[in-house]
Amino acid sequence: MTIVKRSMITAVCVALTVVLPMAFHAVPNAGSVILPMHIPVLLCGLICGWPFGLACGLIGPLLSNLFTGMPPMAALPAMLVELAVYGLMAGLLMSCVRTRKVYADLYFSLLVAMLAGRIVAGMARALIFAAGSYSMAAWTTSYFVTSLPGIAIQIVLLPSIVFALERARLIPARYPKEIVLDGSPGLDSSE
Amino acid sequence: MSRIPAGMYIPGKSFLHRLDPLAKLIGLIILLAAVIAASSPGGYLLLILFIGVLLALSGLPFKLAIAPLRRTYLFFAVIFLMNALFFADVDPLWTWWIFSLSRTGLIQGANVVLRLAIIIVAGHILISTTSPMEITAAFRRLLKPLQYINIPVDIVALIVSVAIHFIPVLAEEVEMIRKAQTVRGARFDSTRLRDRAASLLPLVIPVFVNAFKRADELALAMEARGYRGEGRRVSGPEIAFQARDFGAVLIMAAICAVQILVL
Amino acid sequence: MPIVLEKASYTYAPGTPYEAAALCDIDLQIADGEFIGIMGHTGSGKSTLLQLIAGLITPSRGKVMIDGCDINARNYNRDVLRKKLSMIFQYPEYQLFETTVEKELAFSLKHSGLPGKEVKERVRRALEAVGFSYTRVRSLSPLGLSGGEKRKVAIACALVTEPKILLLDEPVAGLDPRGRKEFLEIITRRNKAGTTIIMVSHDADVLGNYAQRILVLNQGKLLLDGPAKRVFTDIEKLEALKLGVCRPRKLARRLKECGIPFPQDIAGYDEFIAAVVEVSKKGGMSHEPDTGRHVYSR
Repeated sequence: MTIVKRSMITAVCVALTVVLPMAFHAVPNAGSVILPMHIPVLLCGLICGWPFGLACGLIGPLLSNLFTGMPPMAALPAMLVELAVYGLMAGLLMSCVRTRKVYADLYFSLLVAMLAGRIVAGMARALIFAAGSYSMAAWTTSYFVTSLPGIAIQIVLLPSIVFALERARLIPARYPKEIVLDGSPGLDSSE
Repeated sequence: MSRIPAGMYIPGKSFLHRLDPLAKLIGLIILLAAVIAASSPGGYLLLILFIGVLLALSGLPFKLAIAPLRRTYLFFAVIFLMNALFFADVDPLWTWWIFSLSRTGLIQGANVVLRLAIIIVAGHILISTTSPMEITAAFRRLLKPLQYINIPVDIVALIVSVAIHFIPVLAEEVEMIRKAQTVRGARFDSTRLRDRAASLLPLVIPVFVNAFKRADELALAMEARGYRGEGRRVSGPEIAFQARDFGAVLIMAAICAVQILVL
Repeated sequence: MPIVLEKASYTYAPGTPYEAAALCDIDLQIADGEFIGIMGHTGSGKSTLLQLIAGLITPSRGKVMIDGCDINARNYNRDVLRKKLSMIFQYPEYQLFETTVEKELAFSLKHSGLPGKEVKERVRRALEAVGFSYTRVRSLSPLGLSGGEKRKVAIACALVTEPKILLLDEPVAGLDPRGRKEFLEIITRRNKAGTTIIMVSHDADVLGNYAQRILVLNQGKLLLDGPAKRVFTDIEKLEALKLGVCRPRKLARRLKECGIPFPQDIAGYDEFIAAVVEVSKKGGMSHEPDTGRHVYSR
């Protein structure tokens, strides 16, 4: 994909970090359970690479705060760190991990990115934003226990979205099927 | 192409058109600060009057300048209601189920909506009087120092301006898709966790597919016009700051100062 | 009466400075099997009216009754409504999300409680109704189809529940003339089979040719309601509102202006042709041939 296309995809992902939380506001507890703001950021990292994922994770929450007041100013810095790490890590891992199985790549990158984001955000909170008043227990509760359903939901949603986009030919396939000229199976089609 | 949203550059020769894009951009940023600082009716009045003056200087028809507000009044209504109904206050006027209407909530809602409307109109005036290329060039000049640490400032500027553009459009589209799937029998409020992810697919997949389609169309259109996203693009003659540009920035700064110190 | 609206009103953002009345005291009765066209300007409340009937929004005042039940009553089972009623939105292809066409259609039947065999049969019927071969398209990805094919799959999604009522919101927007004709033929066939059709369109020609009854909305109020012929008879009123008028009706007026005793209760091309035959039998077309040519030169 060209830089222009990556930029435009990043732009719509940023717009969706503002729009999706609004759409889910009607569903009770959706914000903390479904974590709608994470989806576009992770997706942007997975598809466009780490620089764009990082940009999306930084610009998205800022614009969202400006337009909807969510996340509130107080929660914004930690949120920025968390989402920036998601976008960054999702992109980095997707470019490093190539198992030749799209599913495996996606699951692995997602899980590690989500883990990394939570750890870094927790550390940032403990050390910078709320130094002293932040305990291990509070971190575990807020990042894992309450958001566990969110993690599970994202593990289902994100690969489905990636595949839908591939089928709609809006993003190139990660492992394009090899064109076989002589009729015998190619080296890479053994899976 | 007909679906590429509005908010486009309208060529002209007005005072605002001729102002240095960087001056306009700095002006907008100062205006943002003034909007955030505004808290009293007097403060808002001053800002609205000032927007009126800008409008007169831009030579844009009034109808066109407020077009983004007319298209998105629902969006504003949602924001207002969310603030008014979900603001946790010790002394609510009225509560029912998860909703609680409070004075503070209402004021907060009105505040957010007013601020947003002013920012959107101001941003719209900027976009209408300045070509996208000029805006990105201005952003680049503004954030030039960042380039020394290898950050492609023009791309970031482009992403932000396109994203802002897409927010109301996509908000409307999400609502439309939600309704279409509801008619088809989708239930988004499934309580069982296992069903929940699956129940979100009919909403989330179309939203992303359509958003990516818009991104694709826009990227194609830009590439067709020769935009490559490289930092070394020719951006026309660099205009140096003139007296009027300094004047404009100073007036903005004065208004912001009045806003913060007096009102 | 199957669809009844009693003084139904809808207000956007009530109680806020952005309050706006979208619909005001609509009284309306629609019988089974009618083909209704709704016209009006953007913001006249056309789409709001459809969404009220579809139960997507709740009236701020008044009632919406379908088959004698208030669909907004607390004890009303919405699943009943979903089985009875389908809606095709503008750009319906935007709603596709499944991995195969067959699953896409079956999604609409997910809560119908039908046995798997019946679901399959209905999917096949719906796909054939829009002109697809079931075996050819069933396992294709709906997202990978061409624009026109996607639209057809989305239409099939609305037909697959075999609804009694079909609501259409600007369904022909963005279709080429051929696609438009195909679509309207599918809908007409459904209507002949007994389905109630309510179609919003800004294209007066489409409404004049296909709808039996036309509602004209203006600023949230029901301005005109009657058989297509009668609504278009009042051509001056429609033009005063800057609403479109179907071409056959305009031609009929031109003919009258040229001194030909031509009937004015015309909505569709079929009626126009029938009237031409009628008038020419009486010899009405043969007099003043020069003026007749004048008609065509305009």
